[in-house]
Amino acid sequence: MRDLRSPVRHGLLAGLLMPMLTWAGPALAAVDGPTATVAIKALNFLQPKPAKPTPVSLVVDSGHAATGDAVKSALGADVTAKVVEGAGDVSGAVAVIVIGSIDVSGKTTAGQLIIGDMACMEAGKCALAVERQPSGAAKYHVNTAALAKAGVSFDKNFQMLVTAH
Amino acid sequence: MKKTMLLGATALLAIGAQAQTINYTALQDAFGQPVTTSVTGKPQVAADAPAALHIITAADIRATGLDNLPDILARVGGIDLLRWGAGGVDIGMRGYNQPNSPRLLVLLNGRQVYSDHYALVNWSTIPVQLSEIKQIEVVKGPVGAIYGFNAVAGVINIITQNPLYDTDGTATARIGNNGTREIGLSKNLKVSEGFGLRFSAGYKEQDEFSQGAITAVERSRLLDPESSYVAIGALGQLTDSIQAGLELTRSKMKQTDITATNGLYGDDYLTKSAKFDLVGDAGDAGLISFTAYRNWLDFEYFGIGKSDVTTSVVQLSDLIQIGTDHTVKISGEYRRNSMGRFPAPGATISYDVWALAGMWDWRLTDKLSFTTAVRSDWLDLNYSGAASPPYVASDFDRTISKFSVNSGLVYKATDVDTLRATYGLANQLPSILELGGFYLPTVTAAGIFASAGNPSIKPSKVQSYELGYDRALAAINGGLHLSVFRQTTDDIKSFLGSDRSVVNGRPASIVINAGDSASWGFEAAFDGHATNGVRYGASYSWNDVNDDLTVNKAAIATRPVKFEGAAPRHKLQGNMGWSDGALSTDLNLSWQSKRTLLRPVTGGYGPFPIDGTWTGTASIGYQFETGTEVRFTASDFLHTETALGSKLETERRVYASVSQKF
Repeated sequence: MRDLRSPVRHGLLAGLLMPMLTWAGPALAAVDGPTATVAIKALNFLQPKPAKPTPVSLVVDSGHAATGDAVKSALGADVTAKVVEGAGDVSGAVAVIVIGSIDVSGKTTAGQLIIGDMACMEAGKCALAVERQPSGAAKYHVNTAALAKAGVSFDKNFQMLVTAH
Repeated sequence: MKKTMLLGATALLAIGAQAQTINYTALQDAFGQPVTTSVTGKPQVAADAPAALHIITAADIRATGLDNLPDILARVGGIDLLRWGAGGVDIGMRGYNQPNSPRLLVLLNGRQVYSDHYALVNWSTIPVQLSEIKQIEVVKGPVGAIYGFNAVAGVINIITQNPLYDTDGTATARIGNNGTREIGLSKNLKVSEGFGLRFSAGYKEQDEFSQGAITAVERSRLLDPESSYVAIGALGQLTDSIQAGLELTRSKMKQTDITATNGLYGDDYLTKSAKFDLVGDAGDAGLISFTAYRNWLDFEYFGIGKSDVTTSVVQLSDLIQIGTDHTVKISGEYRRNSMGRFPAPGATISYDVWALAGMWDWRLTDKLSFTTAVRSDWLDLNYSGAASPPYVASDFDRTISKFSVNSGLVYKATDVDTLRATYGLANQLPSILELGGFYLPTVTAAGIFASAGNPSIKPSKVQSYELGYDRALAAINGGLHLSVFRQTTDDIKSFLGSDRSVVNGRPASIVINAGDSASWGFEAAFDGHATNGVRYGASYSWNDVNDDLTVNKAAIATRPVKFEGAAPRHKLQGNMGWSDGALSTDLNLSWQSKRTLLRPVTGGYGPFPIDGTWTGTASIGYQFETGTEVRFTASDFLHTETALGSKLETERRVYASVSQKF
């Protein structure tokens, strides 16, 4: 019988097992600039492919336009972003990014991709959420029912890489 | 039947979704890590793949400053390089390497580029510029259920830029010591939104190495390596749902190579290929892929003889996502391989292989996924033409049926920790030379004595059991990778030896099954990079191979087969580089422990020990704003000559490269 109480072995086991036991899952943070920057990369895989720059609406709670402006400034030249407060008009946008707690599912039209945080996606009010990982890798979470309801589809190769809910 | 196919094609045309080949550039940018299809046939991010996978990116290749694929691959932990001369190289994985190693599947954009007469890889014939490679996916361990017969040690899948998504072009000129002269050009041209062209061509020459333990006869056979190739391709969006591709290649080379019997010969290869691809998005019916290609190989070993091989492959697959948690791939493949008997002409040997495969990927929970793949191959051997006594025609009436399996559990314990448990069973098909394509009759007083292949030879069965652990290390923008594995090989094949077999009552020297081999192995690697442009990494690999051969029991081995001790038990390497975007440097140091190969001696083969050795490569380059890069590289620079095989010693090489992007 080997000595399982060896300090070295104990340390190795602790090092391997503790992160698994103590991990609490992804943070349910609101969409910020870096997250939105990663999220709009999904637009490259929409079917059919939208023309660039792609129109995007950033929907914020009323009175929080500055938050939307901060996210807008983080986005690159592949999109033309417009900050919309509260019940503002999102027509013409290929994607609607929800920043905050507002529910836009009632005012979007067919073909619009709704992007939000994990809670929004899990509730089916958004079709896509992004989880950025410490390693720099990104996970795309897709609510397939919400995606189908919006009449949006992705390239199959991308679809097979996302985490479907 | 025809009606069914027509209906299928009509359905494909009718679906509106846009079919796309994989856009590796965009997917890597989105997911923050390379994407692969090499492990299961399904697109996966590297961290999710149920195998020991290493992806060499375009940036990695460029940073090395190296001018050839084998030296770049040798930086991957667990890969062994045997260099016989300036051009002749064998790459092995996980402790198994040998002259003309037939255990490795090498693909260029999904097309096999190993030479099918002996299933060996002649790296000089691969029609690609390093500058156009998007990534090289190295899968370690048997992957027979995905790829079939040759993927027993692993798979190296070379993927070039895609003319629909990448528009890069590079012209390169290189000059160095040992008579190194090279020019190359590659360009992807996006003609329209739905049509792109690829062009690639290159020429390289070099003086053969001169030092080493070779005989006077072998020295008289030395050839200065020279190679050239041209490749053209087109990729087009035929309809919203169908994308089609066409690729034509031609490569030619001559160099000094080792043979399966450990002799050094000059040889000449001419390869040609034609490939047609079709990928269609059939909506809920999945992503349907069709590939058909033909490889032609004309080869000559000076002083032995010449012949040709034609390999035709047709593949059809459907990748279907079912619900949110299941992905299934169903594949069928037909392969025909035909070769003129070598070196004594007058007959043709061929085989047809039919294969059916299935892969099922099941996401059990957010953290746990299970993948399993099975494949069944049926081979039918054929022979026509002049007889090969002592064999008779009925000896070639043979079929082989084999079953391959790959299975893996991947547990993503945390955001940064991944555990992997995998099993693989693959079958190493005898090459067409081993099945009887090799036939050399000698007239003796007792009649004709044949040195020949063996139509009754059994495939080798390779099994692997592996545990892996990967940890992303955010603090150093890198990762840690650990693997421990057990690999067994049953029915090792051995090419001709000095012992004698009896075939139909007559003595002959033939290819035989020569016993079993098993190994344990461990691999560890880490890499990282800092925001100031410094990047670094190190790897260590250990293997312990134990042969249980039915031959080579005496002091002088009768057969050119030996894996135990033939690869270094320990290999350690470290890499450090720095770049500020314009200036870049790279230094790689590697140490490997001693190894013992075989070499021909009177009456058979004797041991050829090679001491443990350090090797190093260094490179420095400057990229101007005009897209011009000037680079200086020194490879194997620690010694004037380094023994990396049992024949010619590898000479220190120093070369300068100028490349221009356009």
